[in-house]
Amino acid sequence: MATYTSERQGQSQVFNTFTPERRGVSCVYASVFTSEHRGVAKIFNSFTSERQGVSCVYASAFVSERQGRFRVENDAVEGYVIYVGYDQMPDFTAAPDGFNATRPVAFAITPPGAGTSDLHVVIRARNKFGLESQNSVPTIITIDTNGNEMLGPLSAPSLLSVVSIEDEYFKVFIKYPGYDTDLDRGDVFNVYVGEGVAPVPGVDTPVATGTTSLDANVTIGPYLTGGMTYYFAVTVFRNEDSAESVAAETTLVLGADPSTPVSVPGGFNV
Amino acid sequence: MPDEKTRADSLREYFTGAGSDGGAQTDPDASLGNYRSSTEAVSMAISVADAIANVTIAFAGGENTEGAGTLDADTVNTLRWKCYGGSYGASVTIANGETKIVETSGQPGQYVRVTRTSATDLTGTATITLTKSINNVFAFDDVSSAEAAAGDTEYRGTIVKCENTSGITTFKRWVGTLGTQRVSDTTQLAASGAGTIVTTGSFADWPASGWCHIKSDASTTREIIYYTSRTATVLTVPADGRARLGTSAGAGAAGDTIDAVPGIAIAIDDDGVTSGGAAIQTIANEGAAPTGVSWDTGITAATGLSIGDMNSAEQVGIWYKREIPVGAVSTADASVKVEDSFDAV
Repeated sequence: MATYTSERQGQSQVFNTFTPERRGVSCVYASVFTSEHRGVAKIFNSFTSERQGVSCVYASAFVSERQGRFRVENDAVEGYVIYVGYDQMPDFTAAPDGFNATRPVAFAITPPGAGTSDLHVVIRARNKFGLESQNSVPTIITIDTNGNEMLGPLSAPSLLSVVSIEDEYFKVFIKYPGYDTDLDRGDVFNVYVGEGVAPVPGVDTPVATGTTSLDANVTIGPYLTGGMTYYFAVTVFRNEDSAESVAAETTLVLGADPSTPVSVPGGFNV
Repeated sequence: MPDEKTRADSLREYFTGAGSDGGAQTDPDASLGNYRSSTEAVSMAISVADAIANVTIAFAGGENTEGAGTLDADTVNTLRWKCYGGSYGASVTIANGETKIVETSGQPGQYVRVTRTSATDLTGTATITLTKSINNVFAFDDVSSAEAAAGDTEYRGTIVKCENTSGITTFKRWVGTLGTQRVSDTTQLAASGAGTIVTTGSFADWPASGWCHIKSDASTTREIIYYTSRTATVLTVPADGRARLGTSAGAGAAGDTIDAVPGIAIAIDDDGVTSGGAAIQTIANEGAAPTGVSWDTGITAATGLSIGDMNSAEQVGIWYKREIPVGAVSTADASVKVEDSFDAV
């Protein structure tokens, strides 16, 4: 108020000359204006009656906002955070279970005490404004009673097929669908063969092994018994814990042996 | 029908830092006093989808809600507007070359300013997505890690110009609140040092970190504090979060009201309301305080700045102070809000 000009004060004085009728109009202002504002009301009252009508609208109060936003950096929070859920997805609204500026990120675990527990572990990147990525795909880690990590299950191989090739050999074709998805994938294929009887994986000795991959083939042989039914079983084997997957199985029957050559009169052997 | 520069569009706020009145200066961080720039200070960023041909949108009032609003050509010569969550206001007739404001129903502050650029019939419905502007002149620039660690106080200056040919009266400005008001009825801060504020209410709509204005009654500020984290019912306040924005630390009381606020104070330039075209004082850099001003942190019309009446083309300089305490925590969304009220045609 103290910064107003004297000109405005002069206007306020003229305000006192209003007619009773106009005071009725100015009463509307009086409810919201200060005395200094009455000086402005005077200006409106000097207008035409139409303008007086406008001055009534003038009393309308408008509310508006000005707003914006900014960010606050903290270099120390930039990195990776870990969220851990025990046998369920983590609570992303809670504080992270671990943080490190770079990967890997260490975090403490609580052993289940009895049985096993599946840790659902989600890692997210966090920038210096504290903004986190929205990854919600967990890596599942199984821990035992004491909190030691248990390796994940091995997927069974599939699409096992066997063909007979030259020199009485077999070629075994196999796929390992878990090659890219098993948490701790197997190292080798074990190929078992039984003549007339199914082999027992894990008990019998594999006739061959091959390094795992998504697709593989192994040549085995020779096998000479015509008319024999051969049983094949292939598993995935992991060296670290000697775990062996469920087997993929198939059979193949060799054709009967050809007849022994005999002498033919006339000097030809056929 | 609302012409531009009437109603809530009566007062327009501009950057400062220009070499002459209305001169070019487009950097909000260089808005440090001197002459009014031609660049208007915007609150809302505007994104348009399915634009109405020959209609441009120059400005969106800061009271609009964030989100997808709708600008509709309901006839060949009229437009109507509703911001996100609102209803269509009155249709506004707009001729080629005219600039008008169109308002959300019952909310004159929720308007957009539009210009028609062709006599071709208007048709279509545009989706206008509004988002709170980042790093504008009201919110300042981002706070660096070093600034957050050491604390930082910065200033900006703007000029509010009365563009309404009839003038305006009873102009008040105050600091806006950012969440529902609560009462510190469970736990209060001690006379000094770190502590917590606990309410039986809920802080669910409060920022994750920020400032809190504690009042002992409707008109008396007890203290403004900075909290580094919150739960649904608890604010955690570090020792450096006490006595912010010119207040003094003091023990709280169970009946204190508490409001989430931005970390700013506002002031009228020492020249007050002047005829248009004059320069306001200039500060040497963003860390230099303007002189001769009284900082205000009021959160109501009654306790904020009372600027008074402004005739057409008059202006007033407004100074903003943003105070970041030592040890401020990181955030991707620290909001600033100021509110105005005035009477206008």
